[in-house]
Amino acid sequence: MIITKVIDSFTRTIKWIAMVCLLFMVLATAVGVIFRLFSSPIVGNDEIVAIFQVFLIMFSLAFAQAEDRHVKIGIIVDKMPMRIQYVIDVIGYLITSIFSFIVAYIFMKATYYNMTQFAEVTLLLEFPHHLLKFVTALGFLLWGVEAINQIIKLFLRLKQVKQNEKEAS
Amino acid sequence: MSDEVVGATALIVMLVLMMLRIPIAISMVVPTVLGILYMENWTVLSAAVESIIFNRSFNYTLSTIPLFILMGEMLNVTGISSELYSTFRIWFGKLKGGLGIATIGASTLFSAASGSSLANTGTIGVMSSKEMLKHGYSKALTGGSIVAGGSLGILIPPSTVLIIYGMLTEQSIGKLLLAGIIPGIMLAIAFMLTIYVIVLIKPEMAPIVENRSSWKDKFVSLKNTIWILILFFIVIGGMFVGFFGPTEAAGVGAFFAIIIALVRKKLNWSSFIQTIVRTTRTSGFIYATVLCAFLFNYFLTISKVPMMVSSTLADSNLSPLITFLLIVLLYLFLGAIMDSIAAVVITIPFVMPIVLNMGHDLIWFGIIVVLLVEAALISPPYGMNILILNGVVPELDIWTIYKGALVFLIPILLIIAIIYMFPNLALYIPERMF
Repeated sequence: MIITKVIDSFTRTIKWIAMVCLLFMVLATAVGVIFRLFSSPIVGNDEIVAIFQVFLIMFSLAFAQAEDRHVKIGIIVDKMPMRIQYVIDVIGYLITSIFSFIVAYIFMKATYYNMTQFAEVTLLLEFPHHLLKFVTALGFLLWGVEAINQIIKLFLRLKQVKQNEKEAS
Repeated sequence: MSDEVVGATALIVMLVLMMLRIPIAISMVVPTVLGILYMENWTVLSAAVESIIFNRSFNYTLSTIPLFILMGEMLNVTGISSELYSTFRIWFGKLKGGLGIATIGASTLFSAASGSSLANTGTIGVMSSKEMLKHGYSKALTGGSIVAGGSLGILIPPSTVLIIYGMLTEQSIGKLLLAGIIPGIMLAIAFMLTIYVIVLIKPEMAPIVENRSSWKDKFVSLKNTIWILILFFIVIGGMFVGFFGPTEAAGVGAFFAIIIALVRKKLNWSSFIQTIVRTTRTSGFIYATVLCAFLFNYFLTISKVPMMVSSTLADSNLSPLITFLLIVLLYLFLGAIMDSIAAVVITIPFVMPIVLNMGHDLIWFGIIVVLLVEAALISPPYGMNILILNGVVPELDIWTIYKGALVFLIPILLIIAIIYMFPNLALYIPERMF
């Protein structure tokens, strides 16, 4: 299905951004320590790491969802019939997407507010908050979209199972 | 409905959602969102969501988590774990239960680089199970030794669970990590003694393995531990002497781990990418859980439920020991049915005021919590270490591992009792931190 392919490619792209940010975090901390060793600390090094972390967090949420890695307790549901498990999973994905969209909406509004009425920047590097808030909104939006993607994939799988059962009978 | 009733209802809703296999992060935020909307309004909710998620994400200390995960993952690809095992085998192989003792030894040292029990169990489990089963060790002892050794991963620094605990209780991450060293070593020795005693009582569980290593071989084998020890002294030693904080320690540790992998020629493009992918994925679910836990904690605070629980316990005139035992039972119960991170994040808001009321130190309590979580990791029905070992070594079935792991609960509970009686064992190193 085209929509799932499009969402998958979005998630793959942000996964790579998150991975690059992780590497930059390592590099920034290590370089910061080395520079401090030679008595010339990098101003705002902490902020650089924290900024990369915002990108890493927001872009790894959807990736973890795509791989279905968010921590769950399957102690009861794992023992239920497959169809009931599918229904419960769909409910879980729906709730995930609703929550993610709510957070994305809140951060979109915050971004707009920071851009138009109250500009805030980070303490040392003066990096604009609205950019970080926009990334947060985008991250949660993609998390929600990825949760919907999981629902579509679940239905496709179910359809396939039904088709296989039909062919077998 | 009073705020306390709303809070209590939200707790029940959260537990129901968790049991319905809804992701833990989402199980925490659903009652949070509904509860805040019921008690307050949309404006309060959006302000809370914005400030908590933004301030916690844009937080330098939180970056300790992915950096330590990367350090452990990177060392995983260097093949150091198998060399550690062979070193401990050479040293302890001749003893009764020597291969089990070697498993604990290798796990202990590998824990000094990996902050995760699951990674520890998976990595050490594959090679040590092969050796132990090949030499006729019983499956129960093999499985039990591996999962017990694996559980050390969250006690010996670096530890993801301790970092999350530190964030939630606003305690010094550096002190928490250092506090795990002495209890970690004590527990490793207790595990080794447990194996020795088991084999003394039931020698058929672990036949003596022929070991002709000379003293020269023994000392030569120590070179295998050099990389891990260097990394440990840089990362943990650097924190102890105050040369850098936890985040810098984690960043430098991850950087050195990449250098070690390159120097040992174990890193190619594909393994490098896979390592980064695994770290990003693990970070994703940990971040989601932690951010949602902060939202949930905010909601619980405004519902005043933790204060209510704490004052009810204080009014009940229970002795501190009984209260402590109740907390122990709570963690053993929760840990047995849910993931370790989940058990920590949902209980801390309630337990923290109680612990503070009892006059205990939160750094000390962090070590107690991790020890309890370790016990849960090897207990049925949700002992994650057991499930992981069964996943990587399918010939060790779950029930056999459970049977073998049960006996290792004794040393864990014993160490908890010792740390309870002598809190300084946990606080000795952090109190001397520069």
